[in-house]
Amino acid sequence: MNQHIDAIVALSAILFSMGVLGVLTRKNAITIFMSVELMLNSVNLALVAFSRLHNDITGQMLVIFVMAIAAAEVAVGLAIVISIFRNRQTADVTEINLLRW
Amino acid sequence: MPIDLNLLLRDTLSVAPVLIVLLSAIVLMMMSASKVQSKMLPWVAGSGYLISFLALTFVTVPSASAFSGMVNTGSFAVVGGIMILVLAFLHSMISANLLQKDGIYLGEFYALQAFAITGMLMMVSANDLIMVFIGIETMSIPFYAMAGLKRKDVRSNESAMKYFLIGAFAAGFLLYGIALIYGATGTTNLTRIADYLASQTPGAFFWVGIGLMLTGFFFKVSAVPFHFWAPDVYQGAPTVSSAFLATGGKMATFMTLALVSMKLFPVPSAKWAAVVAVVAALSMIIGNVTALAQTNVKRILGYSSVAHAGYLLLALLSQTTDGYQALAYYVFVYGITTFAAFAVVGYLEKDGNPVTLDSLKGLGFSHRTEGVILTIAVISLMGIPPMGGFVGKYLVFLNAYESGHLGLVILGVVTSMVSVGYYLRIILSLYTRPESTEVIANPAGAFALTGLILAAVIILVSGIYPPVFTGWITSLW
Repeated sequence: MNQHIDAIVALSAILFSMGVLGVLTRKNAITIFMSVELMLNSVNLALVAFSRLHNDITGQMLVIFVMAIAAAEVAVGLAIVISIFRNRQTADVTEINLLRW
Repeated sequence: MPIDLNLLLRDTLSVAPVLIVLLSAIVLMMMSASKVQSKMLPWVAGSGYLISFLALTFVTVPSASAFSGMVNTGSFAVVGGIMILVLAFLHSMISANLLQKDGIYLGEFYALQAFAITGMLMMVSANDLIMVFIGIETMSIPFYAMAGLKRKDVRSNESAMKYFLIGAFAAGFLLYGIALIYGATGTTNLTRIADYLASQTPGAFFWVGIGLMLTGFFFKVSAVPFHFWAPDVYQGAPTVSSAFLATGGKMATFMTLALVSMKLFPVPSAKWAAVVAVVAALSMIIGNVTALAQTNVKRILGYSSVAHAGYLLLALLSQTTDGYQALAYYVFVYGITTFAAFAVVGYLEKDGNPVTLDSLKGLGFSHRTEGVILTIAVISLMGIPPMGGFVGKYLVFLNAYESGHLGLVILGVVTSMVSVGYYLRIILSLYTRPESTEVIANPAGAFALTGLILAAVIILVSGIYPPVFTGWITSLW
């Protein structure tokens, strides 16, 4: 297992980069939000791998907290997207641009 | 392993101030759900903060750390906690009045605020990166909801969505940084990471982790180049929320950044200072220059918060106790000042129309007390004596100069002069005779006015006789 740590961390770095790219290039608020979730889950992967590497439970403990916090974020985030959709009939972030300069 | 009840009790007692606020948050949530007299909500919130403040001030904690080294109690946690609770108490004095004026009849506001304060108190008492992360998220998630409190208002919606997407994005960076630091050192405990650094030279992994974590923090404190959300959010959110997002969030996040820097680098790290120096310089320049072009007062305050993030970062350069104390002083005065400014802007708003430099005209005559308080706050933000902002800037610049960052100090002084340009326009507008003499209905209520005057007194006292506050910070440190 331990000899694969490098590969797992590399995978998590790739997933994290995909998430960042998604946030920066996508236009739909929900898709951006899914990309953020991808970032958080890539962190979970890295944490579990490091936890195994160091033979230490802290990393796995943090994973549980990250999941709980991600769930709380989903609840608030989707509520915000719904309220904006009700008023504007769109979730496209490029069209939601009243506040500029 | 059997649970040691005495230890559990001791640990619980040492975080009592946090638990009191958490309890009041839960009570507030229940009360707002059960439609009991909503007039009672601010009283419950305020007394919760007051009791927590008293517990923090007068109860001596049995040990310096609790929960197997996850939490630090005493000293730093007390300084950070007291400044957050003072702000929260002042905010609970004005919030009922402002919410009513904005037409927001949602008791949830108080519960959200109390949950956010729980997170802030956790952040400043953290001794572990896990605590830092959970604290920041416990603070941020209620903040997103507070920004979107006006559900029918598209600007409030937009502000909430921008805040939420950027905040979650920043949390991703912060967390990946924490994961890499954990991977490099094998621990998330700040003290143990410092021990690791003292015994071995960290590799690239560790520094990438620190870089990503700092990126997350820079997002949260709205430092350039991660600042673009701040003016939008502070402008779009209901003013009663902005008055707390822009101040409490900044206080807690900067104190946590100082805490992380203090714990991780007892020996100053040149790499850390180099990154902070670049971001500080950019924030001071871009924040102040962009603010010059603004006409919306809340937006000006948003860019001013970007600029002040730059000044505050200067205090992190030396990585000495003096530097951290200067930062604590500055961020406390800045928080109270910006709170007063936002609150007054909230009172001067009319029918939800934004307060611009034009619409401010003549309000200094029709609303004398509010006008004087806004003037005091704005002069303090400029950094002109005898206000607290001057002493804060002086302490921060002095510390940066002593640690050999003369160039940045000169940049700081020059950008402060630039900032006079836009701050002065607010005062000039206030005391210009308007074309039409319209008097705004709903001036601040007596209770809210007391809160504003208290804030103004803190600004004046911290400027005229700074030892009151510097002595308080150094004695608790």
